[in-house]
Amino acid sequence: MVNVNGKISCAIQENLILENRGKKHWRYSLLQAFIPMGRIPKTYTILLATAAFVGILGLWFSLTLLVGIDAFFLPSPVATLDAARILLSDGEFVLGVQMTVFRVMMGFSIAAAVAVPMGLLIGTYAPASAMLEYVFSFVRYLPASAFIPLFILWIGIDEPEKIAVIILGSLPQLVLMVATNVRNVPMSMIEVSYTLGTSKADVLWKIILPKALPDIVDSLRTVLGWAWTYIIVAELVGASSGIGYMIIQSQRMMNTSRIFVGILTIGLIGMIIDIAFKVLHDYFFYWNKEVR
Amino acid sequence: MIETGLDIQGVNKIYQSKNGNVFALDQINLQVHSKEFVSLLGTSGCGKSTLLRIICGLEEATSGTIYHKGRQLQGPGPDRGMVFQAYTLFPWMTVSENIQFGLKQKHIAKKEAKEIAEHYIELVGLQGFEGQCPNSLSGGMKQRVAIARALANDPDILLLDEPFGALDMQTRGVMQELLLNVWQKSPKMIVMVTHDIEEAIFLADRVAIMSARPGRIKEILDIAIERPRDYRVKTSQQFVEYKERATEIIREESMKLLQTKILSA
Repeated sequence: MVNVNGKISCAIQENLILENRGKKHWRYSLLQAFIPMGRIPKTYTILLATAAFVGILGLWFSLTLLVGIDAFFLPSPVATLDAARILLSDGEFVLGVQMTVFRVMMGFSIAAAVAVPMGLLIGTYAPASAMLEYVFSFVRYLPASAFIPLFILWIGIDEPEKIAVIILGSLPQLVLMVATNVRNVPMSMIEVSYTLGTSKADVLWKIILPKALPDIVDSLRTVLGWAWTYIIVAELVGASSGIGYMIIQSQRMMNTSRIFVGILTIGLIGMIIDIAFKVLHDYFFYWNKEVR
Repeated sequence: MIETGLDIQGVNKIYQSKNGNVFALDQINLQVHSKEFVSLLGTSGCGKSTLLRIICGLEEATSGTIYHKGRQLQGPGPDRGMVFQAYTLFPWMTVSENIQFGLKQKHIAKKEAKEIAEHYIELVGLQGFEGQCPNSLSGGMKQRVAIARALANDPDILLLDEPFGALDMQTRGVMQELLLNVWQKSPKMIVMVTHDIEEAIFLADRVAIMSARPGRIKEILDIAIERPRDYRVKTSQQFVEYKERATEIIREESMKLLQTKILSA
């Protein structure tokens, strides 16, 4: 779609501008960098992000080691790390993580495969919107977790049930978000494409989809985060593997540090997915950045 | 009916609003010849953009017909290129790809399309920017690409809806000269909407001055200033006289509008 020269020259220009901006901001101290909508150099970003994690870790350390909260309520970082080591050496946990990732990805992929085209149609065509928008507005508010007993009743406790919970939790949300993304495509961009010979049938593929795609991918990222919260709930009930299952087992054994390992693992996976989305976004949608 | 140019016959546009019908356009009759440059000049709300959109086929007239080369126009098509005031470049495409977009819709061979794009990139003075993406361009450059994109498609009519409206005064002046230059080299019928009196006179063969509520063509000025024109024309006696005349008509209109607003308030 884009030739290599274009990509490189755009990237270079972008970098130059960022670099200049960065240099300008270097003259500010960290406090002075609080400019509304301003940018800061990468060094600051890394520094501040690290500081936040160190802060959380520090609080955790001091609460457990200095204040001396009972490890049954709040295990220390060291105890948690210990529990993680034991869990990791036993292959079952790794398998469980794989299971959970598989369920989320499976459910989310099916939801996305249905929701993106549906959202495109609803956002583009008024009749589709009239017919489906309210249905999805209604379904969106049905609590996915409350459907777990029903799904177990209907399709059993195997994988399809877990995947169904993910789909119910993410599909309606995604449909409505994609529809909104599509509606943000400027009308004048569609109109100008008509004057260049694009037919009404082609406008969806040639203009609306490529223009809305960066926003759609952003919506996918957001909803994937929600899908993760549903899988754990699904695994707390009627599962025999997965992170959620491990957490509920640990609760029965009153092993708080293992619960911590489960929760932190999910956080870590989520963060990695978020970063991956960001990297992909910057790589594929570099053109979407408004150079201010 | 003229066989070669554009023939607008009795076009009306009525909007329904809460306070009754609004006559956005009232009995518009206008003929534009091929390769002629006509400006539609008027205060905001006089329906000039609506008229342009109807010519383009993006809106439908309530009644009346528009013929082009003796055939009735219906809906938008590649025979009428349009440049909007808002930036409408496709941001996921490079400058060159944007300009080739219309050619691709016509299934013109890649090599030929690229050559055509190169020609128009040179015409609007954007050599070296072929591979850039639109978001890295300035407003003036974006509009140059938009003009090149419309022209590369070789339309019969180029419709311009305040294309320089968002640009600063200096850039606007430069763009006006660029447009004249481009038009001289690849002559086409141009219908341009503007509220800038100088711009309308400087560019056009004829300036159709419109009045608001109802939107009508009040007067058509024939601009007999010799071509090629450059910025120096704007200070000539002849130009100033046209400007005076146009200003009088527009002022009259603005005053009338103001009066009715005060009365209704």
